[in-house]
Amino acid sequence: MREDAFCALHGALSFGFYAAVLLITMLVMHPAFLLVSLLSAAAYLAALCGGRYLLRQLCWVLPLMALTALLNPLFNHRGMTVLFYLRNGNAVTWEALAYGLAAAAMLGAVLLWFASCNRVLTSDKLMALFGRALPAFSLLFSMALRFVPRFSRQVRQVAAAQRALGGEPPRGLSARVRSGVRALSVTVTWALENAVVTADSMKSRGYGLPGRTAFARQRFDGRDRRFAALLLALALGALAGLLTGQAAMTYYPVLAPAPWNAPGALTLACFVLFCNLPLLLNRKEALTWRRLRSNI
Amino acid sequence: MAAFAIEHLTFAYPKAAAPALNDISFSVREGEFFLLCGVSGGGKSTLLRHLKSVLTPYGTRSGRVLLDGKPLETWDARTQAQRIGFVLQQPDDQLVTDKVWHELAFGLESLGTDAQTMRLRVGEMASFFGIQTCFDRSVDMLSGGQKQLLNLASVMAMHPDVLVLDEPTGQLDPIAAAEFLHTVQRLNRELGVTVILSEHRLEDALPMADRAAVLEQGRLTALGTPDEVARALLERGSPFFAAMPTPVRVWGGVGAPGKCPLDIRTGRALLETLRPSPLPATNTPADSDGAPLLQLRECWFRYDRDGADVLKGLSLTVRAGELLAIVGGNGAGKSTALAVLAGQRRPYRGKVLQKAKRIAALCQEPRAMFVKDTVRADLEDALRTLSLPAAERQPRMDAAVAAMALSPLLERHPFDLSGGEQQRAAIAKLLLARPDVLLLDEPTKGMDAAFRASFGALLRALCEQGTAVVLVSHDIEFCAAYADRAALLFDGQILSEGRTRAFFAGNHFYTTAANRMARPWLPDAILCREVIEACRTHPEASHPTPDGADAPSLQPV
Repeated sequence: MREDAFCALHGALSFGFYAAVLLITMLVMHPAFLLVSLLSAAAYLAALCGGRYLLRQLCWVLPLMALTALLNPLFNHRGMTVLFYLRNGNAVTWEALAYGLAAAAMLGAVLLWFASCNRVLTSDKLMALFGRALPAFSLLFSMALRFVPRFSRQVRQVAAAQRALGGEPPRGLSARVRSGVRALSVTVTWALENAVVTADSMKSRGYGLPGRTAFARQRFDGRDRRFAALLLALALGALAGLLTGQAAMTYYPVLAPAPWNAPGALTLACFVLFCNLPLLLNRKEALTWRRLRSNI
Repeated sequence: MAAFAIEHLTFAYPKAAAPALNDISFSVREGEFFLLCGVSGGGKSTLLRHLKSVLTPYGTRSGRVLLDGKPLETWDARTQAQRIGFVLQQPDDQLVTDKVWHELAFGLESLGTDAQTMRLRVGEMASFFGIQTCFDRSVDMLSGGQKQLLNLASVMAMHPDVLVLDEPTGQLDPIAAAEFLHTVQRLNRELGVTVILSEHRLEDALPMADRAAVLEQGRLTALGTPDEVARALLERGSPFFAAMPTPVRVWGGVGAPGKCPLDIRTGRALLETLRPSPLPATNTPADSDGAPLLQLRECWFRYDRDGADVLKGLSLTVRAGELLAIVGGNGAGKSTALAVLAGQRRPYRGKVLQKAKRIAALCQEPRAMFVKDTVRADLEDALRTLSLPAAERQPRMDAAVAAMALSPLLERHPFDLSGGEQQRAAIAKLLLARPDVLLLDEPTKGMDAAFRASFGALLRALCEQGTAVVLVSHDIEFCAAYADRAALLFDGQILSEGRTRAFFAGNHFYTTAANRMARPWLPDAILCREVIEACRTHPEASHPTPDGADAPSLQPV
């Protein structure tokens, strides 16, 4: 995974971006907006993790989307334009299908945004975010990230040690289940014992004293301030348009998108720019590098 | 700057028959390097835990612990956390967070330091310890030695006045242990931090100490400079003398002339005055003719398809009745070779020929092997899985318990035992299966000198009965004393293999301290007792000690 320009921003900005884009995607039902969100999410995921990774994600995202799109018309029979009738007499309507497709696009967009969020919002950034407000929570989060993989490694170690004792290997399902449960029980005991040592180590370094702070590695610098201003402006523009009904869309009884006018176009433009901010930032960085290199 | 004073401290755990600490009195000056030695289970950990209120165990106590003249309880928690740094034995369990930078900042965060000071201190400590390149790394990627250094750095970031270390190198290999102890020495010399260290590995630690104390069964039996302590132990004929470093044992064996040598250099100076001549060579035993039970032929192994090769064309033969020691640095592939021998891993190229019926392997972490609440129940459970006739079960268990001296430990929970005792219980479990081949990965970790001798005798007895034993160890002294053959594993291959004496005497660095000390005069001596005997047969060595009586001679290995 490449560390790109968007990842290098302060955690608060990445968090703000993702919170805003997910919020708007989930509130809007207009197909143009949903399509913009979906395509931007896919494009950024491809830029961040590579085209092959995007295809691997699509392998499970697309079936889910298809399922959502097709389930809605099967259960929802409102709408005027009937496509065909089912065996039990219910109508499959074009409006219901359209709604299903819109819901599918929303689902796909949210899943793909989460996939890129996973790579951008690392544990360090999340902890820096919550550290100041909830220092105990950020420490708990960090401990969970350490102890959960360690626990699964210890279970494997215990199972290997039991096998290496030289006895007969367990045969049959019940014997295997019993040896698995035994390994788990040993690991839990072991983990509890280790926890006593960890507790000693924490107490010895002053854990529990009032007034805990959090170590913040990243500082909020000038670039972060400028980007925050841009982010805020675009987000507010899009939100303002949404709240005044520029992205309204009714599906039943007939498809009725909001009328196409200047505020609507402005809202859509704001939203397009907003969703593509990470890509635009990367592009700007690439151009800067090319310019710098050509000057050498 | 801090100074500790302990006055008549007596402590007993609840429901314990005898007190764990009995009338202990000593003091540690500011800036001093104080070494606490003793056998495992002697009370060192208990004593050190009394130096910090949050770690003091629960029980009946009398006597006082004073920090800078005031009783320890009167110092508040924040001051104690900041002024007294404590490093425990297990490197992995002391770590709390998942990233190196967070671990370094943990103590400072708890003290409520502001962000700017934290950044400065963390950066300063990371540079002093040389771990600034691993700043971003996940803690899981560090080796054992690096983890323990990280623990030390995390404690030092709080700028303590006293550093208390409870057997910090117990779980580390010798190279990492030496690096760790030298870092502690640097902290003491360059920053003036008072150091109170408890160690059982005295070869590196004793020369560094300003003063030392020996704790035996809860009592201080010797206190003073290392020279005074060695003399006191020798005069009393204490069994703990066998745990002293090789130069001290040689000095004791030849009648304790002059000042006690603490390291190889001063040891050589002592031998220079004695000028021992080599003993006539004993006839070397013929090459063992035991049947090969396990054979690896040109084995190649790697963990992932895209990873690096760990074993590169490894060829090894394990013969019945022979004790083979495999030595090598960290990451050379010793544990992997053992896993391939045990059949747990399969090489992607090369052959593994197995003629042994039963192979038992001891893994690096003995705690992974216990499943029940008492040692006795655990052994009985292991017997049950062996599908033996009922009449044979009890005799086998008695034999294993007797061999590993487990009778006083049978009713205790395996996790309550000390590290060395856990090793013994784990090996007893393996012995129940009466394996043809016994594979041991670092079995002497945490064992004290006394039990190491009886363990070595047990392994030799097993070899006499025809079992093949393969030992992977960093403990060169143990391998030199008990192994028949030794092999050096480097870069995934066996670089050199041969009979123990020829192997170790031929190495310049990978050899015993006795060999390194006496090489100019006795190139073939690899054991401490050989050096002592060569000195004794020389006429200059038989002059009496200053007080007119021959010093008692102990029989160390």
